[in-house]
Amino acid sequence: MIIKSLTTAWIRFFFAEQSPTPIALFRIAYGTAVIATLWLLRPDWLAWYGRHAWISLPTMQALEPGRRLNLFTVIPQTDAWIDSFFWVFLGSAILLTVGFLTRVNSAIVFLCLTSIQQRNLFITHGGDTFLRVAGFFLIFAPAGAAFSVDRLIGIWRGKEGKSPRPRSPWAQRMIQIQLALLYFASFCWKVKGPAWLQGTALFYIYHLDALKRFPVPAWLLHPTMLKIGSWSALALEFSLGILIWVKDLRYILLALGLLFHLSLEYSLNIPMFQWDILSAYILFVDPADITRAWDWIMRRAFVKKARWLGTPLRPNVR
Amino acid sequence: MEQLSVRDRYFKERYRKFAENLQNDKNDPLWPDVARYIARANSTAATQAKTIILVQESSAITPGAQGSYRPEPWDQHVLYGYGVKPEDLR
Repeated sequence: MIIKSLTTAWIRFFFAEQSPTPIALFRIAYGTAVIATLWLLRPDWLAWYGRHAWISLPTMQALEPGRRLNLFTVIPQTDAWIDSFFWVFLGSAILLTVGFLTRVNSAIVFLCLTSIQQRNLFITHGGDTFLRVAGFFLIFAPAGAAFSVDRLIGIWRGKEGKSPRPRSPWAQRMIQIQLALLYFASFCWKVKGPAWLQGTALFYIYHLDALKRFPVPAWLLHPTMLKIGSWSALALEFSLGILIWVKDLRYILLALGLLFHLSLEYSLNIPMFQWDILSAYILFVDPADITRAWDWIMRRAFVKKARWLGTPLRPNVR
Repeated sequence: MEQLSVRDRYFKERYRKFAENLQNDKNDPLWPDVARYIARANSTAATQAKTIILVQESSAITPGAQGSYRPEPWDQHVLYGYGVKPEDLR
């Protein structure tokens, strides 16, 4: 009986069809994060990955032996080829964001992203790794089924209806699990050391000159506040790893997580990390709530437009 | 990093990450490549780098009384020395 209900819950969780709007919105956020990452890297494409890069390809291969998904091992090692690789990568990321040939472009973006990480593992952060793993599952997701050029083409050809057809969300679930694991692993790693448990960790982080970004008010750097901050970060990471699956707590945790990441984005110089992680929050939002939010935005936009044009609103328009 | 503008820091943060990884002894196979890159970047046809020395600079972060903080003096430690060969500059 228990096994049967567990099996039913498992199948419902991974395969009960739902609207593809969360994964489509994630595709847009994900593609934007990849484009921003490439844009930030742009002045140093050749310094990190070129023929005369900081680390040569043979050194990297010696340090990380074995078969790797790395296109740099197959393309000619000239600066022109490596530059072209990046332009193709960027072009593909743009096409993925707008949802044109979505599956093909998600595969290209995943291949290129994996390649640049394998080419130089010494400059990557957790956000890059998350993008890579999420990118793999995005290949199998119906990411182009909504808010995309692919859907517009489908409508134009008469293959798509008025609203996107529900799809199996298993790939979306895998990305959600990956995000929860990221938080839980981070929590486990932190409780191993005394600094987080004693509440002194943030003292060290906020006194690392190389990591500082915008000024933080002095009262927030008081030892008591830093202790509260350290313990709150632990509690939040645990909650986002485990309690995020409790439906009643989900939106509160997502709001706290959003505040947490925005405060880190303001105070610490860790480019793109917060946005890479936040991009996946949309996957935890109920598709019905996305539809409600979208309708609300459209109504507001319509009311504003009508007022601007001086047109009286029809009685049936709320 | 500390000397860069907020904007440049955002673009160049990967250099901080890279330097952090370089200081880990288990990554010492990277040092010759890094020395060669610095030699190439600092050589011209007229003046060529002969020796590259990687120096690690560090300053301990120590909480003072009542959680106060005063920067400690900086220490220097030679990480690696490399004699530049002519073929490194090609």
